[in-house]
Amino acid sequence: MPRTKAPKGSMVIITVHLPKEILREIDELVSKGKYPSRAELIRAAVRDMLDEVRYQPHQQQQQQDPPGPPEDPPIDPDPPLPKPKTKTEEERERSMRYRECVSKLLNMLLSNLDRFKLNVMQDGAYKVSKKAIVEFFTGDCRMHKSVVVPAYNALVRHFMDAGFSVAETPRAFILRKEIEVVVDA
Amino acid sequence: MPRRKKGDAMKLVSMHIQKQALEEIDELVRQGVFPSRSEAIRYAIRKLLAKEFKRPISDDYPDEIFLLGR
Repeated sequence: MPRTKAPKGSMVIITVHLPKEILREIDELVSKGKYPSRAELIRAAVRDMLDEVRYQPHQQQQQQDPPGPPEDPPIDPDPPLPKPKTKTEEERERSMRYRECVSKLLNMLLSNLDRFKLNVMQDGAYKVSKKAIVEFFTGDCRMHKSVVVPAYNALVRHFMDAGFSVAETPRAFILRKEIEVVVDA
Repeated sequence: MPRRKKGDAMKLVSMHIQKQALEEIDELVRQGVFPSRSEAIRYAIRKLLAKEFKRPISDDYPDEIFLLGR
């Protein structure tokens, strides 16, 4: 007799390391009766996440495309499958995408610095919120949040190269344009 | 003082998951959205817990998002 209701072959076993703290919270929800088991909670979490990911590109597409007349249905409903990429190609593509995102964000920040003024009355000091950086990478660039830390470092390095001193607060970076003071002899 | 093993902070959990869901997770890993299957699943769980306990996800794991070499 099968142990699950799902047809044979549709389920696979996975093993994942979870922090104890997360497991404690999972158990708390299970003991409250919100989920029948740990496994059911994890399956629900994965389902929710995948639903969200599936929904996001569609939503972004809707925002980009202006409303217009409905298009004719495509002649070929089954487009040819793209050629599978090798692991090296995938890594190169991911790395290029990351560098493009860093460069795009840096250009955007440098060309709109006035919008990030720390104090409207003070020139040369700017505040860039970390939330905005996280949102740019995870939203606009659709990259995993784990790239955010190296991206922070890259941005800080670029800003320092551009002549800024950079300080960090828990939620933002404070950039100051270093001004050369010339003292006449 | 009790000895603390290195792996004490993490527990191994095995479970069944739909093959299609796993394939979709693998696709997200291929696209670079997540660095690994495990990270994708952990992220999904954190999101659900944040929702259930009504707290923002970024505040739950600030070190993961806001860590910077100083």
